[in-house]
Amino acid sequence: MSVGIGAATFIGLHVLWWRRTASNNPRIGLLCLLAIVGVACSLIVGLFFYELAEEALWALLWIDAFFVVLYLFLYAGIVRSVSLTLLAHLRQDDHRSIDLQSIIDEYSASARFEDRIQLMSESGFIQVSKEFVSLTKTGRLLAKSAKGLSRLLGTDLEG
Amino acid sequence: MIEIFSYVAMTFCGSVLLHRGLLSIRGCFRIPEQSKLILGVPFIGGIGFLWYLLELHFTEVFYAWPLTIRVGAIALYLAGIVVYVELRALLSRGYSLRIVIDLLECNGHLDIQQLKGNYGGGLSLSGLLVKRLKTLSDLGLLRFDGRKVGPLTLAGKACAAFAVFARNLLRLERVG
Repeated sequence: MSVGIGAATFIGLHVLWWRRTASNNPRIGLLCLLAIVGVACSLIVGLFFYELAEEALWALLWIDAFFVVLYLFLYAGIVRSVSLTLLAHLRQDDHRSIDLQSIIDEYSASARFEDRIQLMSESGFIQVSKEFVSLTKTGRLLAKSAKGLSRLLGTDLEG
Repeated sequence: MIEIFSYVAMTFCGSVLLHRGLLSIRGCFRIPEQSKLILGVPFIGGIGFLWYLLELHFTEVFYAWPLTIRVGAIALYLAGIVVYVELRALLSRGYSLRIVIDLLECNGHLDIQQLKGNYGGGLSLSGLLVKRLKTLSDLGLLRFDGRKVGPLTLAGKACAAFAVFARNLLRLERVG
């Protein structure tokens, strides 16, 4: 019950906030803050209404953490997944099959690549000057860390 | 609590190491990287192992960890697994991350059109889309024969409907 109240608070706040102030930025930092509010609500309900012992409060925190992690990744997918965008696009042509080249042309002509560039520029990873893009120190660090981590975990950085 | 936390950390590290080990030797057994076996064995096995550790404590010390504690420990372990799997997916398929890598491989400076054309170390945007369409087809969400895309399957329609609903609800206009 405590987990449910915490989750409802978090998701409710998230939906209300995002509907009131629409933005192209994923605002992950703000979402994490709202998640902390949700977890705090869950712990307060557990502590004062159900009088949970210390061990049970830890368990509650861990279950909350699991749902928060799951929700954050689900949200990241909803915001930035190319696959979901493709599915949503194909949904418009309900029973038909579409030529692959037309999908490629349409996607390439859209401003999605430039959106990513703008978002990374706002995050301080790259610098855009006229037609040129250059890596900042933070961006270089991110790229090098990603390369090292991918070697460690055995993944290919395919994109 | 430190004891339970250490059980979770130990099981998580063991599962990740086992997964990494299986990935290293998968070539000998001709198992594909995305095989459910490679992902499933260490992580589902980890849940069983963690449950066993908590039961072992119960039988040896005669102190019963309540069910909520055990469920909490499993949830914490699963949170770690979700982070690990998503981190791998981000490294493997991260769109923005790949742009940064491409820039690094071109001495950190490139024209936007060149960057777009050379995306993914020469994969290009068409390669990115074909890769995703193949994955969606493998997941049974749509039909794709290499030239024609669609129509969506029932599961694909459900996923698409959810995506459209969630994006509208959160007023996300410019998406991936």
